[in-house]
Amino acid sequence: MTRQLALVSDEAETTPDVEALYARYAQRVYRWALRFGGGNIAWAEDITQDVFMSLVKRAPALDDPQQLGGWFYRVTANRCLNELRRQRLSRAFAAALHSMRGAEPDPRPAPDVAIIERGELDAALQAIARLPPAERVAFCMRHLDDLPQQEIGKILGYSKGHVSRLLKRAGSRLRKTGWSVDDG
Amino acid sequence: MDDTRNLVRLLRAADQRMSRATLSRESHDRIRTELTAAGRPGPRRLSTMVPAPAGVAALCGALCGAAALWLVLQLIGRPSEAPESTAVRATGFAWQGDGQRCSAAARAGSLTLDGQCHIQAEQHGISIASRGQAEIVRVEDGVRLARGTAEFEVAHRPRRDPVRVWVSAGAIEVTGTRFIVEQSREGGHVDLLEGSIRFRAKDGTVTQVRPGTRFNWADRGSAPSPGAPPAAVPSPPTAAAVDTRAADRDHAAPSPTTEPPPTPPARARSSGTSAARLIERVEVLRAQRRYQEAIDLLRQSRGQSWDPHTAEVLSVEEGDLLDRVGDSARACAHWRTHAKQFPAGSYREAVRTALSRPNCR
Repeated sequence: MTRQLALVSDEAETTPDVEALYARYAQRVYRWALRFGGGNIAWAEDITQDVFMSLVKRAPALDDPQQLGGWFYRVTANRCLNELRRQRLSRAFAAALHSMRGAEPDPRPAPDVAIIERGELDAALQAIARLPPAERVAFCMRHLDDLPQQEIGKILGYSKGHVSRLLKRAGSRLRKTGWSVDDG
Repeated sequence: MDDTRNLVRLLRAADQRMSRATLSRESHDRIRTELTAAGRPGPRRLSTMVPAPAGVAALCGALCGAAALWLVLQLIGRPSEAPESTAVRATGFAWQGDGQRCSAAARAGSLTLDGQCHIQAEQHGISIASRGQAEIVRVEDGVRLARGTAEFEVAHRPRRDPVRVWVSAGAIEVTGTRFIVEQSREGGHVDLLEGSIRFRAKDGTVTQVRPGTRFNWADRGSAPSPGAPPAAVPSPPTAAAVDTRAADRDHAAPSPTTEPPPTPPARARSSGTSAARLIERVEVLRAQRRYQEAIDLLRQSRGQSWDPHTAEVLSVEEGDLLDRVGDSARACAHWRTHAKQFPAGSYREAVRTALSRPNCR
């Protein structure tokens, strides 16, 4: 890729190109997306692409292109949250389609799209996948990234109180299905 | 509690494993190509330059965008996965192929393509871009699309015999044009993007197809013999219909050049079959990230007399696609209309959630 993206238009020395940013952050974004997407490779790839497309659109407005780690995390988390919400609609659509065709939808994930094999880890991911999107993302941010509630709220655009409610609800749902959610 | 039921520990273990995952090279290439195209000055996609209601024109734009992406791939010297050229050559067609995520296999004189493959049948001046799976057979006067979906582009052939693209119900005769053909077991259709083509049915009936229109056919028998004269095959495509699409629908209705005239446009019909076909088409477009085209297709289908459940499902899909393309204003407007139209619908909770988003309030 040869084209340079002017992140700071009047300072050539602080104008990283897309390639450099991509090389630096793509794997991180992909892994975050894998986490929020429960190990779904194709989904995480799409999220990664979307996040970098956002970078192209928003780059001129970014304050410090050298410190984009937080920006990427925030955009990835929010993109995942939006996608998970859309997925709920898509799943409803897919179920309706299969119903119209007289076939039951296959609830199992395609074997080639999951990165975690069946078993306990898969069961854990499935338990998380059954949570509503906001609870799911907040739960991962809290328990996997050890982010405080206030920080989670800042990233997702919620109040600290709302994040607290999301985490409580998530914990309650998971306990009802037999899981312990202690930090261990 | 047993450690195996401690969700956080298991999640961390899963997370540890996922942290070792890396993007595939193929994904890297795809994303880099998209970023390059998006970063270029000016309109990123031709489809944004055409009037929104012109469905086929929008299709043209998206296809041109795809072609541009492919071109970018070539220009930046990042060769994508080409079909096995030996397999292509083994067909004896003198075709050359390349493309994105493309694989090719030759068998008994036919070429089976999977992915976005670009091939040229040099003898007839035909360029073919497959979409998903397509099986293509070279015949004496052109090619036959045995199954699948492909875009064809034929160089202008003044004062020469037309090239023929054979399908189950007859042949598409081409003198220089660009069009997309889809052939399945049940039938198929051709969307004419530019130029001029005529459809010669097995019984010899000829129908002129105009740009921006679709010609449908349905199968009742077996596929025709590729090289056989059309009139020699007895069963005509009785369900053939020309469907004028989008803005062209009201003023560009094609007229057949011979009797019998085409049956009424497919839009007038509403059945489980047409719903299933529409849905399958939308699914294909969605899978190909051609969201705007899927939206256009769903909008065109609004006038049909779907049963309430089908209408609701299609409306939900349209709203979801509008969300997907990031058109918040249109998406919110759509969800509001949907909520009024289907107040007790099966997806009211999901619609309520969509409407509760900050940008919809």
